[in-house]
Amino acid sequence: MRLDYVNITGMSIASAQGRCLESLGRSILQEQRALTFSHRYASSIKAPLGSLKLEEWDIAPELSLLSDQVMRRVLQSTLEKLAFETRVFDRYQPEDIGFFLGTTSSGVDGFFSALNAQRQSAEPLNHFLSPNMQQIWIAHQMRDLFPFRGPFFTFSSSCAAAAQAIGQAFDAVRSGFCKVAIAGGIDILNAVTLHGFNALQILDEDFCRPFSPERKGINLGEGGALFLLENQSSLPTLARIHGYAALSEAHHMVQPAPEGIWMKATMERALKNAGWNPASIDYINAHGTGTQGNDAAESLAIHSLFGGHERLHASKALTGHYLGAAGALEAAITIAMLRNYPEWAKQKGLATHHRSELRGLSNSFGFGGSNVSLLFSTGHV
Amino acid sequence: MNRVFLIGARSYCWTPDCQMIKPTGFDRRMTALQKAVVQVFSSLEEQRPELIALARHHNAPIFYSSAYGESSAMLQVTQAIMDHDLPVSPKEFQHSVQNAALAYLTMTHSMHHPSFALSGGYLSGDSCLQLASQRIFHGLDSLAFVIHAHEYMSSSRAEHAQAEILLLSNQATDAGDFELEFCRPGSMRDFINEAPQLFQEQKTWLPPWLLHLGRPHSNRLASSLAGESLVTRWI
Repeated sequence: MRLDYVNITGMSIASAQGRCLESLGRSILQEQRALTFSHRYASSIKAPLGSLKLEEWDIAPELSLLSDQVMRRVLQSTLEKLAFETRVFDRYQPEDIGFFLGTTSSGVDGFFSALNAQRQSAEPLNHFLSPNMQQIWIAHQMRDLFPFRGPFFTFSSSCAAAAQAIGQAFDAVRSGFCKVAIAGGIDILNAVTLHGFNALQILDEDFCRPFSPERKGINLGEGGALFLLENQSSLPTLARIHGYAALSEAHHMVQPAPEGIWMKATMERALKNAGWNPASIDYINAHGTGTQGNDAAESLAIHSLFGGHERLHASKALTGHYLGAAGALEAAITIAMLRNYPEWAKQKGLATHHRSELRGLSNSFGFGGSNVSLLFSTGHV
Repeated sequence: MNRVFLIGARSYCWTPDCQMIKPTGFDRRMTALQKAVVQVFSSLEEQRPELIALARHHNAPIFYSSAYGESSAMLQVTQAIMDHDLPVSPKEFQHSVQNAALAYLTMTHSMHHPSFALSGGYLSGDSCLQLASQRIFHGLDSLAFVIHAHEYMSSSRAEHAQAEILLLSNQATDAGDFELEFCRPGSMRDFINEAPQLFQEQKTWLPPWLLHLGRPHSNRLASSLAGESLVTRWI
């Protein structure tokens, strides 16, 4: 039997805004910007970044530019916290625990190492390929450290990667494919990402302003979040996932279709998947990157579907864009804002009324036209 | 549990002298890997248009995997960074993302289907098949595409690329389809009567193909250095 929703019973966050739901929510509500010009890539990139304070993660300064090593330490610590708080590895057999991770930057250091080795020989690059060049590398590292042996997938669909991982984990748990799933995403700043976005000329060298007429581009960030998804549990339910949709724009490598027609279609399909209507949504976490193209299209899509922008929130202005992990961080922000809804609604000047359930939608739209919308609810505990 | 049938399958090897089956406006832009993925789909569509029409009607999801992804584009970007030849090429950066081939596939064939790019390492093809088939077994999808591809690099560029496509369905056609009995974590113990075809990462870095001469192996055991093993049986 397929269930209508799946419970989120654990959450662990890797963010400069905090590591738990409460600190993340407080920081976002107080509009504390975690973006800084004093970051470890300051010598090569002028723009502000939402970088982690690596000393808080016990990462030695000499490792700070080795993004795969930073990722390994951050994800290990994030998963340790989730395991400690939920006792998932004590409560379930290893083969019952699925792992669904979204990432786009794992394996970058391995690629540089292979290229270095290849340059010192006359052999083709094929001779130097190794597992540490693959995006699944980080998931294999976690599999070595933690006892999960169930279904195990790494998603790498650009900025929709973590949202895809969460959506697939939701399907796996609600259909019985997995008893329980750990799902989320992680991405860490690195030379390829920074120089790549710089080359696209879409980095704002000041603090980004999503949906502003004066917006000039994005600020990048790093980190991620992991969630524990269960059908039934003795743990309190933090939130529920009710549905999602994924589709391909089939329009352009880096530009959304005009008027956001496929963004709107993604949100409509997610709502249909959950059996919800647009009027029932209390909070919308936009993809809202701060680029001209994305924000123009997403703004039109949201206005067309929801009749206005009152419920719209663009949290990348505070966190930066976590790329492949954005869907995970913004799922956590969506849940945090729903759990603090009266305060958020008051800030936005929205009327509040008693509801037994609050509903939120989170968008992730990636390069290649990879769109995902996720639906969450809180307030039923 | 639903049943899972293989109702269509093709392999395609792209080399620089290949003509695109279906000309697109992107032919000069695409990497070898992207061309191989677009070509293998076009090849299946040319051979079995009725299956592609059925998959379009059902909005079949596409599960795509490549162990090393867009190697040639990544090579261009990392070389530029190492040589301080900045800014890097915007085109190569866009093309370096894991789902770039999927993006071109959906653009060239006007497909708005859900599409998922996975990284499965040595078990790239096998884990993609596992996810797609488990979703059909559990009633989440009625049809699904599995696409697996790899780009073969010389010292400076991609020499050729290969891709394979499998179309899975919860219903058989009348064309003698293979039926998938299982695709899941396992070991030699899953094969009592007939020894499986073995694929082990310590013997080669190249992920094994799912198809051999256009057909899947009846029994298959693929093991990675990371300790994962997936077993597959087709009837």
